[in-house]
Amino acid sequence: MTIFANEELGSVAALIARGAEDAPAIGAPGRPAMTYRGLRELAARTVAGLNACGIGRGDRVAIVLPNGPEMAAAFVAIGAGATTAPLNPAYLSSEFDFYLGDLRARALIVLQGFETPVRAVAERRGVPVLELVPNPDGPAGDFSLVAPAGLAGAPHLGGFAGADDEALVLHTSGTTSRPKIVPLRHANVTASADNIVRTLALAPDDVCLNIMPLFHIHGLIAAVLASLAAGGSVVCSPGFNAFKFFGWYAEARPTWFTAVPTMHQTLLSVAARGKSAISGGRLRFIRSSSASLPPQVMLALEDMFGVPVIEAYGMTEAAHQMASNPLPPAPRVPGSVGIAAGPEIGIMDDAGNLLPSGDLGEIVIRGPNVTAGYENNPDANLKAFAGDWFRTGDQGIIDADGYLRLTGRLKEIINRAGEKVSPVEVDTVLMDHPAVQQVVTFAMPHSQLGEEVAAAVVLREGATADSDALRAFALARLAPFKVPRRFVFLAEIPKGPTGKLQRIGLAEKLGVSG
Amino acid sequence: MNDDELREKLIDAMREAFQQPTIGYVADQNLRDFFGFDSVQFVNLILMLEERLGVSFGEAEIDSIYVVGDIFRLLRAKLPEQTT
Repeated sequence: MTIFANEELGSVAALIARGAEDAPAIGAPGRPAMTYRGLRELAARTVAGLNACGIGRGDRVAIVLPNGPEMAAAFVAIGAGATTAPLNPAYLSSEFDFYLGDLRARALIVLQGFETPVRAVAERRGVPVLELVPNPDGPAGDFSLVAPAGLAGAPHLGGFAGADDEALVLHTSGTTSRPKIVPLRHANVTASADNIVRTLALAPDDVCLNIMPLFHIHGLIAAVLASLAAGGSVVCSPGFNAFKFFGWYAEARPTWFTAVPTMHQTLLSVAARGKSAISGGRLRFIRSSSASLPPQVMLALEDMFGVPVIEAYGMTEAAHQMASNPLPPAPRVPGSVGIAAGPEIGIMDDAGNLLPSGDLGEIVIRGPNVTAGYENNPDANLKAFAGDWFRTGDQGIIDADGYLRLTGRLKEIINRAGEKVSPVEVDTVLMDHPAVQQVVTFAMPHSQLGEEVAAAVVLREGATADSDALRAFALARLAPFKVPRRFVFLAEIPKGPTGKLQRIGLAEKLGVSG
Repeated sequence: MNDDELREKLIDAMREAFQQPTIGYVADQNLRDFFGFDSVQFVNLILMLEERLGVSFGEAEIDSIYVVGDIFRLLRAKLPEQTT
């Protein structure tokens, strides 16, 4: 099986056919880069191997790998012929159990020798586990897959996937405790990658230093797929580490990187360690997305790196990018997420009417990068779509020049440094604590994380529990980023004007911030 | 600075960096699991200790930090107990 430049347009296979044979595609600190030829061969080998295991187009393959070049390469190579479902390696058993079951995963990919509770969960659920074995003598990201003995068969549909096949499924935190599945077709993810290429004028000599987790849409599409769509390269770090960042930066000599505002703020705090790396660099711009970038941070970053900071706006349902500030000489506006950068963007009222510029309402989008709808969730789809417009759940305003400003959120999701946390999921866990009578988890403003997870708790009469006890209880049942850092103990939880518990605004009402 | 004083300095910095005023010294508290090794709070803690105690941590030393006790041991090595 070989990838040719005439693979079906709008597919991941066609996207990686664009780069020059010997040009670097995927790199990593301290390792030689994998070329486009190498990546295409890896994708062909991987798809053939999966097909031999009976796994083909539309079959979902859960991937639990540490950040790094193998994760990036696996996302692309597996995605060329099956559906990828990357999961956060920090999840606990109960979370993996939910996700593997909900996804109806046909197989699970884990790093050979990597201790993770997902192995036991997969075994219990009868999901075959394929071991990913990195090639220590090969270029960054090169790997082979080892299937369990006896896993063989013919796939329903083999070969490289096409534009209408499902490429990627991710869960999005909902306002209910049950996360929703967002299926994204090849046409969606490649459209989004191409939108980012156009916005950032990415070219074959561009190098992205990836510090974003590769189980999120932001890193997968903006850092990895957009780089490959441009025929450029992505150097994959093992994950964000502010103390190592400038060492990687000096070695990779990136032309750009993309991160969430909290990471940018953290880099500012260690700026003194990076002066010589920055002065010898060739950076063109820095990108920020997944949470609002405070204008002060944007200006400080521009001052520190001497390049423009491009703030963008994305979400999973849009296969990432929806709006972005443009590159110079067009103006970038601090506090704005920029102009429509791919899909059409509108502002809509509750009744479904599009509003003129200057009016406040819900941000809606439509375009080839937008998901066709949540899986098996008619109620959520009914609420999320108004005709062919997708309701983002964010509130905003578009000015006369087309620049979009986010003014608030209509959903109760907590955005902790770009990690979306469902407050209901946290409530559900804490309600199992014997001392808890009532709990409302909410977003608490935080100077560096944007929002932090907090919980208002009413204890049962006569029961005792302190913050440490509740934190430890939650930590045993939830991934660490979901665990409330602040507990507020109350005799009664304040209610909104209609008598309903209201998470939005609760932090202000209780006077808590981080 | 004796061990108790050094521990006190560490706890003060942790309370401030992690914004948890009730946090105590638990030598085997796993920082990576709870706060995330790359978290902004962890970076704040390291920078705060460097500034307040006049020490500096190298990349390899930072990599070796898993639990609270690891930070204490590194600090102890950098700030030998003064005898009078």
